[in-house]
Amino acid sequence: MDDPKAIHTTELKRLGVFMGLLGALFGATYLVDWEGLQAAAAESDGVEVPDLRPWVPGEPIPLARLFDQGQKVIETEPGRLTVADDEEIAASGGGDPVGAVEIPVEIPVDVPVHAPPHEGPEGGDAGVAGDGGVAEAPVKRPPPPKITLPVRAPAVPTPLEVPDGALDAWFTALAQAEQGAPNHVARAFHWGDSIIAADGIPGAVRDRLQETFGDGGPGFLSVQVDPRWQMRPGILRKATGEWETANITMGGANKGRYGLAGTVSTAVGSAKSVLTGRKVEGDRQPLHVFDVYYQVRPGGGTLKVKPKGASGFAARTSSGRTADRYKRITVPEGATSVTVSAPGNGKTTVYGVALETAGPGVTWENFGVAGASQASLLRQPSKHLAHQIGHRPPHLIVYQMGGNALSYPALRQKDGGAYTENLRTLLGRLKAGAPDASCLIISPFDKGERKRGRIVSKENLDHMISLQRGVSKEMGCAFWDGRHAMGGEGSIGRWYKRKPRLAVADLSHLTRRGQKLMGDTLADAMLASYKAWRYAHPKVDMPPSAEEIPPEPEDEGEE
Amino acid sequence: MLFHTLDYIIFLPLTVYFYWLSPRAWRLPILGLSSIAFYASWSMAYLPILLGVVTMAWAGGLYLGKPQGAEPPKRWSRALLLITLLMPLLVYKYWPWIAENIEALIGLFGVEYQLPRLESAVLPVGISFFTFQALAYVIDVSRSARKGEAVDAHGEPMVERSLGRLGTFLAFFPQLVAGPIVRRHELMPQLRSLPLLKRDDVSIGIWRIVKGLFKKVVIADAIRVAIADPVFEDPASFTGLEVWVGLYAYTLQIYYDFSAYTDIAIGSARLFGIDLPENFRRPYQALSVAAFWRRWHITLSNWVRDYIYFPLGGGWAKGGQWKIYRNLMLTMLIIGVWHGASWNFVVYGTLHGTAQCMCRWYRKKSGRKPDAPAPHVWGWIWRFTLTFNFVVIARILFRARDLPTSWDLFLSLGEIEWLMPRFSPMAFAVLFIGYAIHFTPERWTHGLGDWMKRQGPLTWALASVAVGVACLLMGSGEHLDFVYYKF
Repeated sequence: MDDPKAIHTTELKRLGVFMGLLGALFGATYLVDWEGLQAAAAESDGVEVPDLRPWVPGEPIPLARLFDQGQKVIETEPGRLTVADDEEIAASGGGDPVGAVEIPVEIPVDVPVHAPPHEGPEGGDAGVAGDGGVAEAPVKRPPPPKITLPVRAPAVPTPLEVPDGALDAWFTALAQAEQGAPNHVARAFHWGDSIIAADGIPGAVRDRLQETFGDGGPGFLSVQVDPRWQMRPGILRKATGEWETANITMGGANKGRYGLAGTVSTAVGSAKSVLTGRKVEGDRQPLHVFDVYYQVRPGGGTLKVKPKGASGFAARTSSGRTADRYKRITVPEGATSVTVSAPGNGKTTVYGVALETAGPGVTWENFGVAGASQASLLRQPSKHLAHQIGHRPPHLIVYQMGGNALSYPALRQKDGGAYTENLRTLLGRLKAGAPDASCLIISPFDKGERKRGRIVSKENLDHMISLQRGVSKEMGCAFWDGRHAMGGEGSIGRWYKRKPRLAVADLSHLTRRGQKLMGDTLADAMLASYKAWRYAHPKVDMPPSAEEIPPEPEDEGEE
Repeated sequence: MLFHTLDYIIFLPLTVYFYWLSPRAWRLPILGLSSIAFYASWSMAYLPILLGVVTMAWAGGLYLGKPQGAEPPKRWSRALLLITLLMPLLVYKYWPWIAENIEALIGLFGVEYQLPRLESAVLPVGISFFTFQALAYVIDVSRSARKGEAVDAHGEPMVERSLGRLGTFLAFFPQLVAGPIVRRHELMPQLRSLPLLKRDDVSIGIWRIVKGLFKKVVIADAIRVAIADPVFEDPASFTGLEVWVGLYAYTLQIYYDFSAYTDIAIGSARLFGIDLPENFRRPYQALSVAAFWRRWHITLSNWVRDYIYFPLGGGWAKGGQWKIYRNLMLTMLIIGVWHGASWNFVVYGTLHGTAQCMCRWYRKKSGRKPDAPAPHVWGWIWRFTLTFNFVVIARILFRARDLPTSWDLFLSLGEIEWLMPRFSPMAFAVLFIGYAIHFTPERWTHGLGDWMKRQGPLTWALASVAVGVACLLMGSGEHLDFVYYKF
């Protein structure tokens, strides 16, 4: 059959049959009860059945964009009009009623409870005498300030939810630093997963607080970490030699003790690690307190710790039983680095070293571990964890996990079942180490998945956040809805599509720019709440001076 | 309208249906109008630019291809016509960059001056492709007119008098926005004769479309989302080893992305009985940079060879070897800048130009042709390793947003820490499969195509549905555009 016309006719028929069959196969997918199938599959073994219909109601109508260009003229800057399509509009926050918030959120300022009497228009009770003593002089107080949160689109200004007194310990410590209390460092310990481990968020908060209240130093640093996680830009942490590192997600630590940051390093041969603070005007900042967290154990080797230009200490870590030990080195004249080394005469296990300035100042210490969840954090022996926290107690405990727990079966229960129970237990364990500290729970940020050409938020997020909010109230902690701060439902997709991107392609993590934005938004909320609290608490007692504090035992520990 | 969306899956069969069921006289208008609708689906705002280029090329062809005996057009008028054709490309693609550099330059002397720019200068989709096609047409007509030739070697008239046909040639929707860059002699005769379907046109067409969809959605987009985009968007968050993985991933992604577009373009055209030229021949198997450019974006390489390299004197330039090297450098520089207006592409072109010069020097010394097989296995290994890794590392400039970022990425390649890269096992599997397919002998995939030819419509339909389901289940779930759209 070489007749071109006959070939053409045959080909055309085959094409027609193909198109007909394809259309029939497409059409057949509409005869299937996909919702019923999906429900049955979910009930039986939880396997997801994808909807194979080429188009489902609710999706953009195919070819419709030929008639609707999906383009609008938007004002990107005052007076500058740009043609943008729907996705660009959504990415810019313009298509989202939450992302389009233009009016700063106002923070209510509490009426002073213990403040000196306010001189009202009628004079009020000003000048009332004390208990038979000298009448207090009337104090003029300024009217309550109007506190607002700035808009950092596409982030949404989101205030902290603070039950009565929930952040008093933290704000008191900040106020003391602000007032210049000598040798005073306000400490915040921030536990989290990979979102935190990258340090973009804690770093932004740290920068903002240290700018306002002074630099307390880098705080606790593990001696060796996977350099891809627990990043601390600006900090030098150079580990060489034979370190073996275990963390709470990977397991493998001696007696399950992972230390304060959830990461423990053991020198199995000759090993060294140099730690510093950040650079200030080109030079490494001088640090004055070096608090070493280490372990004694059977077969333990020698540990040497030496701040640069000052005398350090050496200890034999061999012991019949595994136990934690601490050693504080104070260098009044300051040292720019500290070297932790092991000669390799046994296994030398070190949790880390806390580096602080002489104060006054703030530390915001990052204990994020990639892949961490409440389950991995619960892996730590409770006494060990409490003791690690209590050795150098924080004024604020921050807990921010959840992204790795979204598939927990317990989340299908209305009350969260074991998830809620474990969260209570975990917060209890963290607080056991520092019972006087304030606590703050930060909800997981928005996370997404791709479904039929669209990015949608993951299920269970709303439920998890409401459970966290409930536990937070119950435990007297403050709460910050990080997902709302991103823009709520669907925000991960908008952050991902934004140019430059604010979220990465896995739809779980944020880019550095996105992390910085969230960190700044959290810092805004923190500083605004502090300002409101400060109005209600204009007078804050100074912390006891160094002489009043009982001296630290040289070598304390938990067996 | 992206090729891998339901829009196109409906648009193409509808157009094919109307095309073949219409009287012959209507077929060209159907192709032309559907091409206009296809282009307008991106933005109606840029349609006048396409239509303007078409009209200028048509009028220019008529002017330059005056009947024999008439006074030939002046040289300056030809130059003016070419500049006019290039104007949209210059204004939209290159002017913002040129203006920025001029401003920076005069800023060195303390003068602050803002040159005018278009307020909303988003690059019209496919502008480099249809502009180059129009330029080639006008240059061909001009050359033949100077020689006094009204028809080409196949007896086809050089000048196209029908605006509709020339418009369809320049805007033929399967290859309009990302090539292949088609030349007059390749497509115009087919648009004149509007051939009937040949044997296997349908099976090959369906096979190429299905293959292209698989390459784009299951391989290219999956790698892009899982590895390449995260690494290039936030390189500081990744280790040196991860940047290497990201770089190999991007190298594979861009090949599968672009060649997928070509597959779908060729397949779609075959359903109209029209043949388009091939654009790729397993480029990463090349054993020299010169051979790479004979396998990668072949139609662009041929275009610059015929309209830039040869007119400059090519490889036979009088005046010594240095002129040949100069020609190579200039040609590669233009290829680099064709891809985009930035210093990255200037350096990209310069790098490839330098590599081409070295290939030329080695070829002269050894007497070996660029694509000649290696004499022994070690020869193959070192030539392949050198060529492939050069191409991979040069891709940094292709993807990074600016020169400082490119330099940082390049430096990070040296900071290798032997820690397991943090990409999903699925992403690694797709990367491995992608490279494995690329490095299999070409005849293996041809075998699959031959098998499709022997099958009937039911198998084709089932194969299409299978690939559709694979796209739905394994794809990135996003309708990501083709990388070459922005060029």
